[in-house]
Amino acid sequence: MNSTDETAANLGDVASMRHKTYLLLGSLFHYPSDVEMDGVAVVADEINRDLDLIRSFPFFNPLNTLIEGLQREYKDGGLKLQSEHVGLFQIGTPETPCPPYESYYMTEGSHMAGWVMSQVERSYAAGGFTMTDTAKKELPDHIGHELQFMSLLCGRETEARDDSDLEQAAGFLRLQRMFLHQHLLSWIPRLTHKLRLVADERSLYHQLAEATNAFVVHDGDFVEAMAEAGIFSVEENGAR
Amino acid sequence: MPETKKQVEVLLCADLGESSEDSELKAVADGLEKSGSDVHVEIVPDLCKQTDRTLKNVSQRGVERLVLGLCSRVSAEHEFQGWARRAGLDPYSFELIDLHRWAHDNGSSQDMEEAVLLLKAAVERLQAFKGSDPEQLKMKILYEERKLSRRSLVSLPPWAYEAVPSVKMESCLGHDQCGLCVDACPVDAIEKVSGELTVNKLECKTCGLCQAACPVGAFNFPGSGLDQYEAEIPALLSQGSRGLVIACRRTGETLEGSNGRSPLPAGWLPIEVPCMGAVTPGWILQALAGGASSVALLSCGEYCRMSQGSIVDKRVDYIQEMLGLLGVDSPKERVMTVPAKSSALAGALDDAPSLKSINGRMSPSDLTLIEPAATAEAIVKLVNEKEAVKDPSLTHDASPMGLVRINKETCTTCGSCASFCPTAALDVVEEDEKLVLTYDTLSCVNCGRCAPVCPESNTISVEGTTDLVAIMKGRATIKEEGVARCKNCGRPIAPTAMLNRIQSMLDDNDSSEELVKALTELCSDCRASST
Repeated sequence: MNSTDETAANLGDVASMRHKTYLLLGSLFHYPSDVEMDGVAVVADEINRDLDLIRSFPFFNPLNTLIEGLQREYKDGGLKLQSEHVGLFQIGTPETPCPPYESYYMTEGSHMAGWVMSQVERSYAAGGFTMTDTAKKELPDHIGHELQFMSLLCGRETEARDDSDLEQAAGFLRLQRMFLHQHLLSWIPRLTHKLRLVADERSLYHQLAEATNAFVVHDGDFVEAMAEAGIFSVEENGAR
Repeated sequence: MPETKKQVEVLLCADLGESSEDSELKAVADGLEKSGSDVHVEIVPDLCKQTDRTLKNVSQRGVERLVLGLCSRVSAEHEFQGWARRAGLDPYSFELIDLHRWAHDNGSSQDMEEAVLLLKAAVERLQAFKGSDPEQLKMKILYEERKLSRRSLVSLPPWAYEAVPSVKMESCLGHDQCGLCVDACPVDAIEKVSGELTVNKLECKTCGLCQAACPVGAFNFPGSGLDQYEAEIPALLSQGSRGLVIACRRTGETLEGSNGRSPLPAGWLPIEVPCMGAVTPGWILQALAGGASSVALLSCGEYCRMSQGSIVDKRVDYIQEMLGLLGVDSPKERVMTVPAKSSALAGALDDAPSLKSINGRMSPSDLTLIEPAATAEAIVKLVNEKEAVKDPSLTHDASPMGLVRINKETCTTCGSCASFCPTAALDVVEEDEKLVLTYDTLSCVNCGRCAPVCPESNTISVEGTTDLVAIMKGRATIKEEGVARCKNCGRPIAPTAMLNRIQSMLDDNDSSEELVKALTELCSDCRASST
């Protein structure tokens, strides 16, 4: 009978996989310019190399479907994708079908949108990041930015683990948990639910909605499970 | 159009017999293929030792549903989940059936028959399974001690997933109309988000009490869905009279037994549930009405983490009383709680008298586990077998259905009670210029919401009563009332009785004649424009 050691995964590899997946998903919510799509293709290839690790997680199927869909769209060229993106996230009658901003879902018509955005920026600062001039072309609470922020946190966690700095790694894991619970998990399921309703079932954006929801919801479980297992706090766990 | 049955593959470990050509093992395989399920059976050498490789081969053939009949202790669930996932299978689309007792005992004919029944039930469960979504799976880290080693800070510790129920929006009545699941959840894990009820995965303890409370079957619970149990129970009872042991998932060690030997004597078959609190009286009565000789409940009792111990005891008491009213022999032996220790369990079941089943076999399409229909239908089936007993009526704390009584003299047919009824047991419809208030005890879940909203005192009462006469009556008219119309525009104002009641209240208070006329003869729009 196979032993569990064969299924053991290095936490650094898991952090790296999460970094790449968040990066892929976040990039796909931005406008699919040629440059953006080239970058996405590179990340998708890297994730393909992690497939054996990802296969152990329940979001494997929707993520794999997204990557396969991406490879097809990439070959066909970006015009169709660009037009779909505009129609879903930017322009619509009587309103944009699927606004990609946290404040839209969290304030429901009230005047608190600015407050939500400032909370998001505060979280970015807590992680040691500020928005670049290019990034500022979009509002701070755009889903693409929020997912990319998670990607950066996971990337920093990966680096910390590569340097065997477990305390710093635990710190980045704590920030990820906070951001997931204070922001992502409270609105992304609603956006993806809306996107699944309005996007064509065969379109890449429908697959993106499925993959994003499955991954982000699972990631919420993942960091909670890590917290419950005591992996967040190095001091609480002595070496054996 | 009926759904196409999913093909299920059954793999039996060859070590269950003396060899792959073992005639008894082949008889089990043949029995299963002929049992009527859409199933393909294969005997596989060393299945228990090479499960990982076997799963990969199976998934490459496109198999989506799989039953494994194993000869040794089943491997750790999380290992199996991991292998299944890596093979591309939904971990809830397989069933592991431990048949080692049969193998060790070298298979009496009764044991072989029971082996076929267990496998058949697993096949039926899988055919009823509709698949799980990634969002329904909650990750849990597995670790034996709270303190982890430094190595575990580098490697991901073993992990597994448990299924969390989710709400089917297309069936859900919504929080405003129903919300019974919210009340039933012992950890407040069901929330209203953007007008829809959702299960908070972090809080959910996967007990299934929400599913049990839902009057319309609006929950999807992979591995523990009502549709899966509705398929499993008839399959287990499809041949001969047997006892069922309904076991809470947390008593798994008891069922495994000591020294690798199951404590269940021959003639008893197990069903696992997430929590005994999710097993309503209808489950047990349906099983007895469908051919089970007895039902034993193996639960955590007073140690239930959902604090369902006393509720389970009350339900057992209710069922025993109901069986007594129905004239069924030995009610205390027909349904009982059994101790959660292997040795004591074996003794309790061995000591249970051998009883004949009350009824014949049930057809799978006969069975519903949604209350209160589950209890009502089971009682009707049991009564039909007992000509002498025609109208049992039992008032009990654990009655899954209620009986609403309305005073026709004081009822004004305002419809407030119906608007708060989550299951439309109370309903108001307009027919031929009349408002008709009706009541159907078959839909009444004894929630008690109707009574406090009635504006008239001493008009409506609810009690936890299971009454066969009311059940057989079906939906009955409580009151019909004409509708008064606006003297100005002709639109309906309110039921005549309500206006008479308002008039009598205003007369008692010496209100002006003009006010009384305005309130009772004009609709609100005409009243507003006349002032």
